[in-house]
Amino acid sequence: MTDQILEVKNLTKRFKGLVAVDRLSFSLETGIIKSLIGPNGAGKTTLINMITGFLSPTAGEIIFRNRLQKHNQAHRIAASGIARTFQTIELFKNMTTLENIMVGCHLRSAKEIISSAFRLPGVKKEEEKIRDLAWHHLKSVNLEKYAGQKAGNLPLGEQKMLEMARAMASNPSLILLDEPVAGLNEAESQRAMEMILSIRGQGVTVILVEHDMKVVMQISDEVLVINYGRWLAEGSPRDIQKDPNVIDAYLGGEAIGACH
Amino acid sequence: MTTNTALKVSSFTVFIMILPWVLNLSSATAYYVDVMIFVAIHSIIGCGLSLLLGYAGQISLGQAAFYGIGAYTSGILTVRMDVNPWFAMAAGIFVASAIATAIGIPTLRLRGHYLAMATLGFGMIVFIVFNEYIALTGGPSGFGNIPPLSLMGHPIESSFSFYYLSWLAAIIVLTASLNIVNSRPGRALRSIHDSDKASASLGINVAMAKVKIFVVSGAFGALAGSLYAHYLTFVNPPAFDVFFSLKVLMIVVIGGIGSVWGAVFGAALLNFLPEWLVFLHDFDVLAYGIILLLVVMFSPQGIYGLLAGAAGYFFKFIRKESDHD
Ligand SMILES: Nc1ncnc2c1ncn2[C@@H]1O[C@H](COP(=O)(O)OP(=O)(O)O)[C@@H](O)[C@H]1O
Ligand SMILES: [Mg+2]
Repeated sequence: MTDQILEVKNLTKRFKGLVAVDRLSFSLETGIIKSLIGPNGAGKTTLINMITGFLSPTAGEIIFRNRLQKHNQAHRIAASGIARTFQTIELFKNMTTLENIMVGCHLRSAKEIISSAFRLPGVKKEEEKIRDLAWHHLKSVNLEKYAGQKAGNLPLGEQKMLEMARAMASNPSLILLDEPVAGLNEAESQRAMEMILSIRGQGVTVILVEHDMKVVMQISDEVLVINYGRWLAEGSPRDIQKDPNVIDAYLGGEAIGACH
Repeated sequence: MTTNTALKVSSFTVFIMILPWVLNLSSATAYYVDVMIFVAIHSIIGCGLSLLLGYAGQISLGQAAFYGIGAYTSGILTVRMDVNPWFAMAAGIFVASAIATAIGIPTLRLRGHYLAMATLGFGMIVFIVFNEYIALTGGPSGFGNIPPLSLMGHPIESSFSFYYLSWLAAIIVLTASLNIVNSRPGRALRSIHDSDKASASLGINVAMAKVKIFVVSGAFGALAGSLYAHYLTFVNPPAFDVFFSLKVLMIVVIGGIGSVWGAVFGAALLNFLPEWLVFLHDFDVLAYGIILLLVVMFSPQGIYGLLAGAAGYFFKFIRKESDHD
């Protein structure tokens, strides 16, 4: 048996009349990059929102590290070791780049209001630790030169890198990236891909939502295709490219074939 | 606290220490020592609301109630039960914190401005209790003979000595607030202000972070109220009505949201203005309204934002470390 970090069973999300995710089941092997693809509105973001506790499933189960996720509070799921980025960038835009990552270290520190207010023993040390950790993660994405700038003023490519670095600062074992390469130019997507590979290199399992098939085919270990919220195909990038169901869903295969 | 903030706080402390000596030089200005005591008290309650409003993005319309709880707890415990004033002050802070927790947990879990509604209602209830529970509160006419606070057997009664006590408290509160803002819990709050989704995804309990800062604002309110009671030695309900809650809100907004220093500037302005606008008689409320409007329209960062911006423009000083105050 391979080591599985996540298992999703019959997961369903219904919004009023619409079934956004429909009895979806899959499992995720530890340490790989699994891409989640599917047309717009297929339910990818909804799936991520359920796994990360931003939405509660209508039905079905999510099992993370052999434990059933019962509570649906995002902050508790984060504490269990799942980090994420957002399709529409969610930076703390009035805080500096460094501070963004310092907030990312929240789970690796513990000082609360009263000890902070009166600088009780240990606060200074912890603040230094947070700062050091944040610098380390900042350097991992080469954003040192933006350290003191407001995150909202960074170019789009850097914002996406910052969001990934911030998520990594929480020291997760699983990270879900919702379209981290979308809207980036050639050089920027190259950097983002390297970052994603380096995340896997650190032993963190990745779920990657991406539209650019070139990116998907290059860096994924496995691909899961969903359509209308339903499981459509799953397998290695090469198998997926040849899968007739997938080719159908992508308008006669143009999207996949053309990019290769 | 970084060197920049520490420098600001220590310069301010020196200014505060010297001020009464200067004011006492002339009989025309000696009275301002008393006004400055209210600036200190209002700075304390303002700092609390500033943390809540500027950093958690939540409005409380019931700060007067916490102020009143601090004042009445001090008054009732010392006068009716002979409790030591310092202990009574601590009790008031504790009661206010407990009530803030009870109000905050159900309302701050919801998105939106439910806290504003809940605190408005809470303020009204407390105001009614002060008026109606005559046996304990003395009803509409209140009660007096509240003993002063004392240090090592010396009662702190004169304006001069109470000035130093109230400003000691205010500077501690200001420093504590700046420390909160510039450390883990403060960063968590500021992050929530920008994106509560991202904050939650990083493990921050968004609702609890707001509850905690609301409790701090309640505690600061009660501390201010207790100082008020021991200084005036008398309490009655009108000092704790909804208009006082609105005044605290004005102090924070006019002074400058997004910086706890703003509360100090706002408190100074709203206490000195009536002194300078006595010729307007009861129309000074109109002046507040106009100032509030001007600030919101032309300097959303308040007086402090305006001054800090001007200072930055003239000195263009380079900050090594970005510090948030
Ligand atoms: N909060 C919501 N309320 C109602 N419908 C939603 C909500 N979120 C997503 N949907 C709908 O669910 C479907 C799947 O959306 P989404 O998960 O964002 O797709 P994808 O990320 O694959 O593009 C879409 O039809 C979308 O309109
Ligand atoms: Mg999406």
